[in-house]
Amino acid sequence: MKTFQQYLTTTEEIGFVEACNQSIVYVNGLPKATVQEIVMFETGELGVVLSLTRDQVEILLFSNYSVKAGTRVTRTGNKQEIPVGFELLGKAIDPFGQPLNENQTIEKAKISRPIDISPTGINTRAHIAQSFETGVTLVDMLIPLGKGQRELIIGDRKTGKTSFLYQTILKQASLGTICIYAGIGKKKTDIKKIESFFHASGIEKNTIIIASSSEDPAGIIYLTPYAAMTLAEYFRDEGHDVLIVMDDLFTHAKFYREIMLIGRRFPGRNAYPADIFYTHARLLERAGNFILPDGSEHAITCLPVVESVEGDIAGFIQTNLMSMTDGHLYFDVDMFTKGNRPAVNPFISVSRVGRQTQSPLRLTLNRELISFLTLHRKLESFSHFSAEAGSGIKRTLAVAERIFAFFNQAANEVRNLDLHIVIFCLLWSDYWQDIAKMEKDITVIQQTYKNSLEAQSLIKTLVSAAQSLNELLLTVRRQQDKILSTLGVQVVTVTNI
Amino acid sequence: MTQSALFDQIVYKLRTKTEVSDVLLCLDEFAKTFFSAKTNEEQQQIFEKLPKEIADVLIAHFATEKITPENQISMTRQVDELAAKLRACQSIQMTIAFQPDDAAIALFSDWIKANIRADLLIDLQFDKSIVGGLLLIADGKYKDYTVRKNLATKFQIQRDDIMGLL
Repeated sequence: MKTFQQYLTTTEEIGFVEACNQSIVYVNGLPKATVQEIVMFETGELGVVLSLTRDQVEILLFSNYSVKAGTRVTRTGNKQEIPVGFELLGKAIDPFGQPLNENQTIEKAKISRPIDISPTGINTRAHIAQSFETGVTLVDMLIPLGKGQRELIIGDRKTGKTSFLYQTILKQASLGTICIYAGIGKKKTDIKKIESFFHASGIEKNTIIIASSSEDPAGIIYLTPYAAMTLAEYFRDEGHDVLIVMDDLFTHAKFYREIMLIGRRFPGRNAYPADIFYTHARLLERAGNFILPDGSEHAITCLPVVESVEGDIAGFIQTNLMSMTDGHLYFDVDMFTKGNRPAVNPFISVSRVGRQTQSPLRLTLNRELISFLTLHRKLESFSHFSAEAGSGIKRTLAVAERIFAFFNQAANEVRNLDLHIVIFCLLWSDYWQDIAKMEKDITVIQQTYKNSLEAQSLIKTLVSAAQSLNELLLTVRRQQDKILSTLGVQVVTVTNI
Repeated sequence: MTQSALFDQIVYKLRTKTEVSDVLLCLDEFAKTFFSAKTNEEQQQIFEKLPKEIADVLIAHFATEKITPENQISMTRQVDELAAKLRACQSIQMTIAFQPDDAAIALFSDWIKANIRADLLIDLQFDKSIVGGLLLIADGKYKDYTVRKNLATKFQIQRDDIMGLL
């Protein structure tokens, strides 16, 4: 970046600060300033032009320090941009591309891209046809996602949203997807934890953290998700699929509200500015499945996060985001309290485009599971009549208990979906009666699968050959002993209830 | 003399922002005497602090339009309007490398009033570091015609030669 004097000499335009209200500065002068142009104060601070009036230029300051009246300002002639490039992989940066760690150095990127652009039209969009694995069995089986989908992650605080995001990033990074984590107004300790997690998991080469801390100026916090999306678009254009996580947009909305109220915009519902929907919609519309100029398809899958308050998913920002995304995963605090991990409520969660990406096998599995769990929900009221309930109801309740235990997954544990489809078939065939035995066997199976090429090949063959759940069930029942021995489980005799 | 004629007369004679500030101070002091026991002559003495040309105009105007208990309120409004107009006058900021004398100020001001606008004032700043020449700021535009800039440009081009000489 040039100095103030250099910009002044180049642009030959000057302004003088007339008033300063926290992060909004009113400047007189700068006749050729344009909206979203970066300006520089003689003290070195940067700002962006928010609006132009007849007499004044309204500037959003990117600094915690106020500027004094009379301070000189000049235009830079540049729009808000972020440097992009593969040298950013493995780094933690701020929305301007500067490293968050003072000790870290980043090779200077050759190109920069504007942070805030209009989303592309429908002619560059492709149908979402590829499935997107999160590594979380409950989500992959019941609420499947597709590459290019925007799925809202919603739930109260401390319900396991971040753990789910970690698992998804772990899974996708191991599959070669570029993962971008946008931390919006997070605590510095939280950002550090994420960085350490990526480093410890060995996936930092496929990840970028772009974050603003809670002590950063409102302007920088506001820019964070847009800068992250610009990075995602760069990697998409370079021929990679991208996962972008925005944690969280509720904080983003609050800071945007703060900026607009200071800028004396008329407050709307809940004091949010009238364009709050547009602010988020133009961001999320930049994700999707795209056709590149060379004819290839690459996707930006977006997982925006929003916090609900006391289970209220009908809040203003929450409903806004639900309407502009392709579904939502609801993290239920009641389920979390009962010990379900992840605490995703499959009845309230929705995936609008995930099913079209699924194979026939997964579709039938999904339908079967959903109908079974719906039945279980209706029968749950009989669970306290266990002594008097009929054998059918008892069986349903017992199987459901095993299914919930099957879906339980430790934080940071990432599962292979095909393997767990086969495990589910064993569960569905009543191979296990005891939950503790089932969990023990699953651990053994996972370990064997990880180390045995024969096991991996067997699972792949089984899953790819089956066109429906019934077909796979028949195959698994016929070859049960062989499958179990290949997966390292000691064969036991199965007795049906 | 009408309000606008008075303003035109004064602004034509005003050259710098400093002079405008002095006039505004005097007008403010003058307005404070309206509801006091001072005579008209005592009130007009306030303007004697200003340059003679401007003082004469103001004294002449308020000699003909005397302040009486009946017209005090309208006169207060008149003075406020005149002060507001003077505050709204635009200025051109000129930074030079020497402290100008009266003749130099008159030279600059006369040229600006004749060639740009009659009501344009000069905001003179003094900065030795520019060495010579002129730095102009007006209407948000910045023009650097200083010797400092020329020297810096030459240094950039002939950096190696100059460092060799040193």
